[in-house]
Amino acid sequence: MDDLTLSERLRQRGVSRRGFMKFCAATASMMALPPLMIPKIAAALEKARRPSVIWLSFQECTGCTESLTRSHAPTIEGLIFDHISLDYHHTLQAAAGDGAEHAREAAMKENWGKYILVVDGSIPLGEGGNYSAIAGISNLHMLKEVAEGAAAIVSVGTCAAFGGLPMAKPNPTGAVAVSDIIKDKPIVNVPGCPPIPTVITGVLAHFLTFGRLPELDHLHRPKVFFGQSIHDRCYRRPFYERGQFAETFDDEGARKGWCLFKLGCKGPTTYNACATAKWNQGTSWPVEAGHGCIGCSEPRFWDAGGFYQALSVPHTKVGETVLTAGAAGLAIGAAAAVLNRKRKAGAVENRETITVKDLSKES
Amino acid sequence: MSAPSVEKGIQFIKAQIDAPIASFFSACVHCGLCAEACLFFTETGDPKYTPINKVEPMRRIWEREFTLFGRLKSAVGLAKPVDEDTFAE
Amino acid sequence: MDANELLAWARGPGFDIALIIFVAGMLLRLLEVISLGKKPDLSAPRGSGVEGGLRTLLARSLPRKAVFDREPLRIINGYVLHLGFFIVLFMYGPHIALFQSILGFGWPALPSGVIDAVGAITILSLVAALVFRLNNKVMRFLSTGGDYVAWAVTLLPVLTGYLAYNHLLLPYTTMLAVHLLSVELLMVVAPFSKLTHMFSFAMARWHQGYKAGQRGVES
Repeated sequence: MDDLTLSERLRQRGVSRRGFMKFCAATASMMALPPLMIPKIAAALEKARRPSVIWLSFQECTGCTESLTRSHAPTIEGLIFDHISLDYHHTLQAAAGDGAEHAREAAMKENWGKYILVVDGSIPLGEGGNYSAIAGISNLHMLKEVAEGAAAIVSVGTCAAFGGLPMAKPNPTGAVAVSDIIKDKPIVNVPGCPPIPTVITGVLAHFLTFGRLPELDHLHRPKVFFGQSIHDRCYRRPFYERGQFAETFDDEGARKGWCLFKLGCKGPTTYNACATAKWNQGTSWPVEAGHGCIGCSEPRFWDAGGFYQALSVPHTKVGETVLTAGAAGLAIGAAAAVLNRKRKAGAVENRETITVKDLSKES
Repeated sequence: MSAPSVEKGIQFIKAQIDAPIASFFSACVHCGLCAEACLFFTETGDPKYTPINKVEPMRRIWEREFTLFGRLKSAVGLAKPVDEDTFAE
Repeated sequence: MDANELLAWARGPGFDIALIIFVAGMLLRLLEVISLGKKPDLSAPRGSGVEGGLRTLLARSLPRKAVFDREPLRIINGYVLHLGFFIVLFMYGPHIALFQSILGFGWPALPSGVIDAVGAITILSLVAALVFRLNNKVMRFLSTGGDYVAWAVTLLPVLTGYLAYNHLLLPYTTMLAVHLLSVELLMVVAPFSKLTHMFSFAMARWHQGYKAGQRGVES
């Protein structure tokens, strides 16, 4: 492990002071910090030592890691990533087998109480946690062991944050989120399937800069990135307001870039930074590419009905329900009708002439 | 009025209730505007002369005898009974 | 249960239950009425009952001058309330998407800003309706618990929809779920309250007009 600070490392890499300050400004604006904070970020990052990061991958698809690596070269976020000491990440590290596990144990021992634990993937609890294991150690066991010495935990991706795909019905492995197991450590959730790379690096940058985690919402997501819904920041919002919706993916409305609400966009109930941070170095994002948001950063998004069903439409078979209810209504109604007719006929039959005597009060 | 007379009255009203009458009851929203069309009300100002209130005993009999909800209501004893006092009013 | 789960329930099983009660309940109520039949009319008809029925069906949507002159505010408020409710229900894009999924066809939506304003007017109008009910001695005399329940379950969907759209009081996802649940409550209550008038008004007007038409009088 070398002892270079970030600024030294950047200079080694040929990044100018100007380039570094630009990155700090971008980080500040991304985290919605005032411009006054830019020098502070720069100073903190310049002085920061490489913190040890242990990355555990459990029931996951490596999409989160793919996303993170896409944030790299030649962007400067990559350098921040260089700047942390990624001591264990079984997809990215060179070591394998026992060597890899020894690296993890050594890093834990050396940085006990100080390292950052990043987790992607959910943890299976079914069958005694035996659905997934690394080097013979169950995910559950490894998470508990590594979490114990962590300064903070970052749950990257919807699986680690909320259970994600593995937890979707019927959840055969009994998968749960990190926060369902670890209760005594600060946890930041960075959900998304996958999460936006700059959001992952942004959280790490915040930790490096301020030495603490960013402000979190009720789902433990950093407010700066997850504070507003996709819908509220969507560039297609004016079409929603005007009541102009694409009805199919290739109609005139779709070509004109109208709102995708009716095609199932979950933007209104999805809190993420896609509309502002965008993907692939700010090139585009799902809605800009013509597809509605599927709500991938929200808990249980797999079980929230079809991706192509509008949010205001029930995700059950409404037509069938109406027919069933109609049949039931006719049946009960017919029974009631027969009963009513009988009662009515009975009343007509039993009707007696009402006389003056009946109406007088004395009788 | 004696009890048999009340029974006779109820029976008579039951026989009177038909689809038009039931449809009026089921469409009534208690807006009270019918009071404005009734001389008894406009002259006395007493809300009990509101036309829909004058047929309230009939409405209760309709509800109790010819609607499922009303039958349930009187089965659990929630419905206001129609008795001598009702007619005395 | 978090907001997403609540929303999923409201969009799934909750809606199904409410829909079944609404459709089956309304059919039951209508059949209960129809099954009572008509008393035989022994007089010779002087005019067409059908024509009278149809005429009254439409004509009763307009106020009578004599009554209007006595209670103009309540009658105008009645129009505002009903029209506002219909505009919000049938002309908002997301609502149209719902009808489209059931009916198979849709229609153009009004701008959300218009719906927002109409929603606010509808809420005020409903509040005014309650004030009228409490301040008018005839209405206060006639009102039962059912009238106030019907008022509340009508107000809730409009109010929660307004709050959800404007991001007020609760987080959007939660408020959206509450909005759907309040609509479901309205659907469950409707067949067993005076809200049946949403359908039975037509029957009542038809019968009234039919009788008048046969008698050859205006209705």
